[in-house]
Amino acid sequence: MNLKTFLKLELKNFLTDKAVVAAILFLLAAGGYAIFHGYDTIEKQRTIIAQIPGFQEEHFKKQYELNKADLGNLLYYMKHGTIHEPSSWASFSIGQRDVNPYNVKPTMLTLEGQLYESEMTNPKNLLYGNLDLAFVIVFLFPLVIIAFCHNLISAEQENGVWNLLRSQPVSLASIISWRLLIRFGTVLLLAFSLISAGCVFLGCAFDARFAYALLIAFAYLAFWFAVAAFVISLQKNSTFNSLLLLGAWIFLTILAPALLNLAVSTALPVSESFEVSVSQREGYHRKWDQEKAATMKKFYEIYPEYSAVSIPEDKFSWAWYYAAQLMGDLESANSTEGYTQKLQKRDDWTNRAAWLLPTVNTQLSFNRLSRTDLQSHLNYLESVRNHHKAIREHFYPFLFRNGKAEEVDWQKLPKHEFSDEKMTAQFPNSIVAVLIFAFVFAALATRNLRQILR
Amino acid sequence: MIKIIARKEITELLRDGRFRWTAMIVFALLLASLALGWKNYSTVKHEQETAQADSRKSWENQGERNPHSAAHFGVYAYKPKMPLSLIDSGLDNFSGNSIWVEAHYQNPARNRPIEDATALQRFGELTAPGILQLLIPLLIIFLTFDSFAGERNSGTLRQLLSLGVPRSHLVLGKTLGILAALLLLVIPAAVIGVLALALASGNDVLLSSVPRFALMCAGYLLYFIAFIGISLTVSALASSVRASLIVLLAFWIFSCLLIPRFANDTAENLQSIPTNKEFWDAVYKDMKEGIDGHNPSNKRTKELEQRILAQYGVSKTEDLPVNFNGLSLQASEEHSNMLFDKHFGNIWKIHYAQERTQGLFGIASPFLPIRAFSMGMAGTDLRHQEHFSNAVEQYRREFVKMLNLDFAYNSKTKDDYNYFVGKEVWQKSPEFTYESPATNWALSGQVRSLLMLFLWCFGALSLSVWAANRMKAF
Repeated sequence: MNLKTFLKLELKNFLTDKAVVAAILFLLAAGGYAIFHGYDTIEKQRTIIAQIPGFQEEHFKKQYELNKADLGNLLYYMKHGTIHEPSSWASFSIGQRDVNPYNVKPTMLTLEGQLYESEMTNPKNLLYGNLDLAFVIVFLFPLVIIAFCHNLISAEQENGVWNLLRSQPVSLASIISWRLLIRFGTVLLLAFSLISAGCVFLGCAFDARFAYALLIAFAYLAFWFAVAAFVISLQKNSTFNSLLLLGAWIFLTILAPALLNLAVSTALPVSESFEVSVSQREGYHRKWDQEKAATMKKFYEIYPEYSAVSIPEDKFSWAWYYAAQLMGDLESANSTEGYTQKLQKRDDWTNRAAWLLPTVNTQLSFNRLSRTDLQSHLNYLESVRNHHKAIREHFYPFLFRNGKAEEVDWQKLPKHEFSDEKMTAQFPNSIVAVLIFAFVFAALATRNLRQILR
Repeated sequence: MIKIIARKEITELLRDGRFRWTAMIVFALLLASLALGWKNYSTVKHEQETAQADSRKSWENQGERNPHSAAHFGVYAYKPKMPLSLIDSGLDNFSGNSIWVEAHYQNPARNRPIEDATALQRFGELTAPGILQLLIPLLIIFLTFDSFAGERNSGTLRQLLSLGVPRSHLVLGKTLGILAALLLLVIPAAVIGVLALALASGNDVLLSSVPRFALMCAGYLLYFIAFIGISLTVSALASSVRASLIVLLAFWIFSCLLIPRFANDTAENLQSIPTNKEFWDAVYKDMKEGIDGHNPSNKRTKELEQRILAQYGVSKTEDLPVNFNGLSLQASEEHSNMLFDKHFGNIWKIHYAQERTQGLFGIASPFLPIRAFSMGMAGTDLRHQEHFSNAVEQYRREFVKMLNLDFAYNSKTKDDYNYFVGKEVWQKSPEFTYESPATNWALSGQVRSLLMLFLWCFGALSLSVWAANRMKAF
């Protein structure tokens, strides 16, 4: 029997196995559903986002008509919509997009309290997470790999075919490696087809990200094949192999991430989240009880160009009012910054620890690729802060000279611009760690197998 | 006979290295999760109590202010940690834990811990229920997948049956044996859980939590028996040990990983929650035009004016002995309260409809009813969240009313908003206290999940007896 006939036979045996067909169908069904779910979730967000420019225009017109007599009052009501558009890859890995707000509409008042207005969601729906394509790859593919590989050698030994195989001219080492390769090829083909189909159906851009997604999937699946090869190279029975591999799966997908999460959140508690809302509210409200000059003095430190304007002490003025609003943000700046830094640190530590955990590493790489990670959300919030600043600075000149609404150059109103899509996709560096793990396990497996088969 | 079989099963299990190792790991994890749950509980409880006290302090020390602008300043109400949340934190990480109490508006709960989390949170949590609901079933599967096949191989099955041991006794004995081995693992953990609870809170809290805790344990017992029954069924029917393991693992994956997610999506797609914009547009519309478009706000104010003028027998609001602005504020407050009942009530209705849809999938997955039941007993489910949010709203109404009426009856000057009051009024204003609902109330919301668990438990047991009667002895 030469290699070609052997391969043909092996492939035929593998693909006509009922369990194998069932596993392939299972992955296809789960993948298909995941693509649909990703599409559905992000499409709902896109629908809401698409309505925003229209609403914004309508809202401006309405408020302008109602309050144009008093510019300060008009600005009190006027909301300035911002959008965190999902990247074209968001449906592939939904990440934290179902949790974080993506259409903050701040007014010119104190900003911090307005940043966390997310859409109303049923908390119970957030409990289990999303069944998106990234989930299928990270959680379900390894299970199928385990099912395909756990009895690669042991089944033959248990059936008594092993000795028959040993008498064949094709070497045992190459039989086992070919078998593994056939399985790896099949699984890889499945994963790549799902990613490609997802790309087409979800409208993901076929750019560097596509190549990176394939690379991440390749590294992750290779890792699991290497682990499986290592376990079968220990030459125990099928049941032992399957239990050991499942143990590894449970550890890597459930226990280790949960432990890491606990470690990160216990080491970096964010008690600031309680403080931010309280301190910004007080920062502003206190100003009513203080001398207006004191508030203005602080304001002039940042905006000296307005210091020539005199603010009446005994009378309400919008210039003072918006200065006091800004103080609300400035006085909560410490807790806000502390809060943001803590989140940043949590993210950094998670990313560092992920080098050791291929599952977390892969999930985070997919999230980063899809821009549905925490970093992307923090970037968006930063862009909203900048936008709020631009809006305030646009209106200050008019407020400080008691200008009318008609004098404002409404056409030149700063526009909020933030797009994940425009950022260049970064090479998923951390995936190297997964490849290294894969290599180490593969090397160990090869060594073991060589020793046994000699 | 059942007893003997059970005893044999338990001795075998205890001698089995496989059981000893996995049980030790699971036990260690349970302890770790309880310790961490306890730590998290004490930290959050402390933070929450400090924040609540700070909010009150800043309210009382806000200085001289007009009562209505003080109502705009408002206070915060923080959700107290439920004692049993140290065991099952349920939705605590996914729902808001503070509500801003202010004039005119009911605010939704904010500050969801999930917003501060990295993507790790979505891998699942290492909480006690995570271990009890996910890992113990796996442990059961590992211990029982070769239960009958093993006896078949070693020939003891044939011997037993030839002795005339009824097959149903065989199954029940095995079930009892495995359950007893599991309880050796779970009961110490439960005792430690109670101790942690006692350490973290006072005696009265402990006493009131005991019935909830007992019910929770009963729920888990049903869940474990259900899994044992299913495992024995599959083990009896499967053609080989390997087939048995594969079928059981597939069941576990579907029941604990896939169906919950699928149930979610289905519920979300069948009953959708309005977007923020839709929600607030509807509220504003009703505020302006009155509920159902009748009774617009300017007409309401006119009517109120006429009524008050008639009541005091004067013809102009300036001549009233009370401040009309204060009365008008309170009237509009009472009108919007009806709106909030309607609109927020509607959101809760949708939440519950979604929950019911998810619950239906419990027929295919015992994981769903135990998840719901466990957090229902812990006081961390949707209903408890609503209970808290309703309590805060009730408080808001009293709080704002007191301030509005003070404004209405005590400011007889013409220059309304220059009426300032100070600390003595702030101290008199009601303080937010929250009393957690009784066990009966918690249980009444979980009748469905409890029924579902009973169904799983007895269904699985009967199935295993049926399967034992059908299985081949060799």
